Amino acid sequence: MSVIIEAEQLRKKYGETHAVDDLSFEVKKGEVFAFLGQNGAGKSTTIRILLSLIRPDHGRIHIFGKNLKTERISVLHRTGAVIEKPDLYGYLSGSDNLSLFARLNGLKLSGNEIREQLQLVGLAERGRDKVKNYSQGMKQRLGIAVALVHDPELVILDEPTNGLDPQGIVDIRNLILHLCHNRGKTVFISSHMLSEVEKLADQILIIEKGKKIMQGSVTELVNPDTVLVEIDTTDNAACIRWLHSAGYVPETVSGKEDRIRIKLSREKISTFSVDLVQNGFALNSFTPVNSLENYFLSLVQ
Amino acid sequence: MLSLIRIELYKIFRRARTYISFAAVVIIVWLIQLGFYAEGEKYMGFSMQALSDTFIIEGKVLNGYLICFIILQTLLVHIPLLVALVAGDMISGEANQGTLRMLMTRPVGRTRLVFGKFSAAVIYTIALLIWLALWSLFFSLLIFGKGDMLIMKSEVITQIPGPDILWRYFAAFCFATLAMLTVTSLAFLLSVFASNSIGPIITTMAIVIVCTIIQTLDLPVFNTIKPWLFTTHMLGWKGFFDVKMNTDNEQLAGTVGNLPAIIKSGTILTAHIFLFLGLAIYSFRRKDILT
Repeated sequence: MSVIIEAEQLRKKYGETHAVDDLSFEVKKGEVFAFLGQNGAGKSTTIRILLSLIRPDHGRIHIFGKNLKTERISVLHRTGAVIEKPDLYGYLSGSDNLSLFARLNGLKLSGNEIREQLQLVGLAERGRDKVKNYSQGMKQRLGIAVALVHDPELVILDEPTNGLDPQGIVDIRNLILHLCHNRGKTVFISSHMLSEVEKLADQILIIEKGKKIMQGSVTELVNPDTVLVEIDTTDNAACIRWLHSAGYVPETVSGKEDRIRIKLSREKISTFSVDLVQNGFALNSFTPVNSLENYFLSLVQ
Repeated sequence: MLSLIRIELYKIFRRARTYISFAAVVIIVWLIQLGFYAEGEKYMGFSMQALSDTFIIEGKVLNGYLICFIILQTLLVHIPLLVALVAGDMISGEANQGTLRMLMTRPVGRTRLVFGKFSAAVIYTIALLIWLALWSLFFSLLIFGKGDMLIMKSEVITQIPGPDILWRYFAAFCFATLAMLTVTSLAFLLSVFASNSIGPIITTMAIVIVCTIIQTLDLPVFNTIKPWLFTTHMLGWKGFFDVKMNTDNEQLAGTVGNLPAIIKSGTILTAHIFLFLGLAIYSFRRKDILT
């Protein structure tokens, strides 16, 4: 698998703060690469460096095998991006925005091509409306359409599901998977929605205070054999006593005293719930906790 | 490059605020024309009272050429604000909207983008000056008619014959455009550093005002810098209404009194434009796009 992005020892300092600190990573062709970190971890700075919006103080970036510093234009011809919230020209319509950004890529789109692009993100009916009248979710969708308008090989999306409703999140997830699996695109994505990332990503990179703290595939990072479940029974105190006696290691959740968390192997999930009921604990809720989220929090907290 | 300029012009002229400047020019010109149409004769009679005692003045003094001259004198002080409204917004406005980062993720070189945006701002300025010329000269001529033009300076009265005037206006408007382009390039340079458009617009006006004040203060400390201030040369267009005299103190049609001074002013203004544009390119190429 060829390498699309190769970043080496990136550093960027703002005053005394290291926004990005000795960060190196590789993104391979055709994969969905997720970039995770808390607010202020350096995700947006790294993405801006990848798009040469800001200059790193140190380090080297090759995209498509080309040096970003010297071949920026040729790299950007093959890259589409949405950074943070996609701010577009509010006084223009969605179609006009799309057409304008396509022109910057040297493309002159026909009415049908514009409609197709808008259809891809579910905005075909609102293409003529001014963007200032769009909801945040619609702007987000249009931003993605703008990023894809020139059919780029590499798509960089910073928080692409921000402001989207649940259906919108599913649509964008499916779109990203379609781009990756059916159209062979490489997707670099940063997101706070760990459950979404888990469903999408092939590779995950976690950064904290600008430094890489973990990189690997979802299956490498999160043990697929173990599931963390959160339960609420009719008598949680008695249930915790019973769990201890039965050899489990229950935890209460800080701030959620009516919840018990417990790690279970996958094959034990069905027997566990039966055991609980047989021992007189009726279940109010039984929720598997997102395991990537759990893993992420264990790293950054 | 042409495509980039077209895109920038499209953005400028799709915004309602762009037309504020054009509307302001029309309203101010109309008001002046209306005022002179209603009470111009009385006003002219009053201002020429002293002359009437010494000279016999015949013909139509209050004509379109004179009205245009008065309008230009009044308006060219305010036009910099209208120019800065758009030029000061070219980059800072995009930064403020957040569209600058969307723009910069496209395969467009930074220098090319600055050139494209600057060219669009230049075209806007030229369009505004043509608009001003159209309303102040064409409509003044239409309403007040033609005639010789009397221009009064402190101790000199110049009478320019009608047929010798039109080319002078053409040259004056060209020079005024150059002067306004200096303001355009200054506002444009300032827009590189700001992330909202109010800052560059106000700063541009503040610089114009401060330089104008320095220019009017007769203090030795300022006298060395005055010749190099762009504001000193912005009213150079008036030079085209000075007519050269021969040894018999007769006017020479088709000439200007002090052409080298006009050329010098034009050169200094052009140098300012290149300096401001050069600084804008240099700064933008090194700018981190954070907004």
